[in-house]
Amino acid sequence: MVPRHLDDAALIAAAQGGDRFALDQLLRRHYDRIHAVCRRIAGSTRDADDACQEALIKIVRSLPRFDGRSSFGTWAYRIATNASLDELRKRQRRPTLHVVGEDDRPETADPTADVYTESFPDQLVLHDALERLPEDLRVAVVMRDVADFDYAEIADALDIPLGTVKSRISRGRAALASDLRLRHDHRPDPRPDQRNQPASDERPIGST
Amino acid sequence: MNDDLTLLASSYLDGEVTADERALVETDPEALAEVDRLRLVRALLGDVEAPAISVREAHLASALDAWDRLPEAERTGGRRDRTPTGVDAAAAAGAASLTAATSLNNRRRPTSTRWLTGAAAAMVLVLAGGVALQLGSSNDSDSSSDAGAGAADSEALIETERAGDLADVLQAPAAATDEAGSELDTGVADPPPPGEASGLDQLDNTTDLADFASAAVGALSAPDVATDTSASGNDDLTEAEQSLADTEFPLCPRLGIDLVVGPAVYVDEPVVVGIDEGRDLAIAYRAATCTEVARVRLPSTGG
Repeated sequence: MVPRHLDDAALIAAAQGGDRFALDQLLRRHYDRIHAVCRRIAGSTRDADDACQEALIKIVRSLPRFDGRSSFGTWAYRIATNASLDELRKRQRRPTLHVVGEDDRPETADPTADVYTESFPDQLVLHDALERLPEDLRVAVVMRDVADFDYAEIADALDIPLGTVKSRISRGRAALASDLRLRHDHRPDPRPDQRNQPASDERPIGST
Repeated sequence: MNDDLTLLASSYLDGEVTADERALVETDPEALAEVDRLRLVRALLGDVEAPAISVREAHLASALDAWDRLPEAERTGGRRDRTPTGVDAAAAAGAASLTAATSLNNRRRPTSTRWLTGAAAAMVLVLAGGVALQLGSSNDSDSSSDAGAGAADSEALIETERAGDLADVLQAPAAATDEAGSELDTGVADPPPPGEASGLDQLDNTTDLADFASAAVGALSAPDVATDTSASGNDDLTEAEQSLADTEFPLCPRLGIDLVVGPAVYVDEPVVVGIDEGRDLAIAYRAATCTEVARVRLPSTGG
């Protein structure tokens, strides 16, 4: 049995020597984060799953040529990022069968259900916010906050200056925070259409 | 909140600030509040729900299969002289046997000519799968042998073992002599995969799944095929095959299946392949439990 405490380098060496079990351990170790990167960039579960599968296959096929100049994680998450971007582009080329418009949205049974409460945004809301985020900002933020790349690694991967990386991450996070209506006290703001309709016992938004 | 402050807060959060900038942030309540707000965004982004175990295992199995199909020289990158480190060869071989090295070209059979035979075998597999799943859920003592594994790994192992059990049902004679001491290079000595024994198409990855579904849909949509199965030389069907010919696989609306394409074996697991026409997806699923195993977008047919 391959000891579980073997580090990535040992597993990579074993896998490159032909050890399938070591490869399995290596992929398992990084699977969750690879999947998370795909999920956050590609968006929908299906696209993310497709991207994740493609990424894993690319990782496996490229592993014999992996030279260890970067960490395996950095290398693998970069492949996952690219696979997710490819999936996004495929999605954009795909003919749209039906565009969901305002009229298609189901009516909200409870008008107050649309108002955020004290709870943090759930995953669906976050997913929507990410979908609305421009791709360049989304990729930078996900590479930083999900794949844990440092700024230099992101700059290298995206072939952009360090300052641009910093700016994109900052703008991306700020846009998400605004879209999620996170306030500085960490409570979500009400939706815009609620702001001018204070309830009788509601204090003005933003007052402390 | 101005952009400069947000930029500073974001950089501070990432530890990408100078000492002066750090001091600036730490003495400004507004900047600290912004740091907290962005920190929350980061936490939310990092909190990604884990995929279903079946999805993970299917992904990993596909990746390992891609590895198996790499030419030996390419796989080792010319490193055959290197000794693998920290590896127990027997364990590695055991792991290798979980997903047998297979070649699609060697295994693929024409779908149309084997439909009924395949369907009969698939029904047996699907029913056996359902029984195995039920047994598995009530009897977990068999899965505790791998003491080092975490809970998720154990579940994954159980799933893989189930698939192996089903394979064993189909190929007991071959499996009986292949349990111990198999070597890593299993390309020649591997027992035939379940699909080989059952006459089902063996799908190794989503590309195969897409190909299989596309081919089958094309065949089904041909005007003289859909109604032709009962009239074209099926006199020699066994009773089981004939009864299965009248059997329909479940559509599993939960999965969005609109059309059942047929049975197959996906990464050593017996499945039924269906089509979600609305979303243009081919989906491999376990008919007994309506559990998705893999899915892929159907190739565009043009236009």
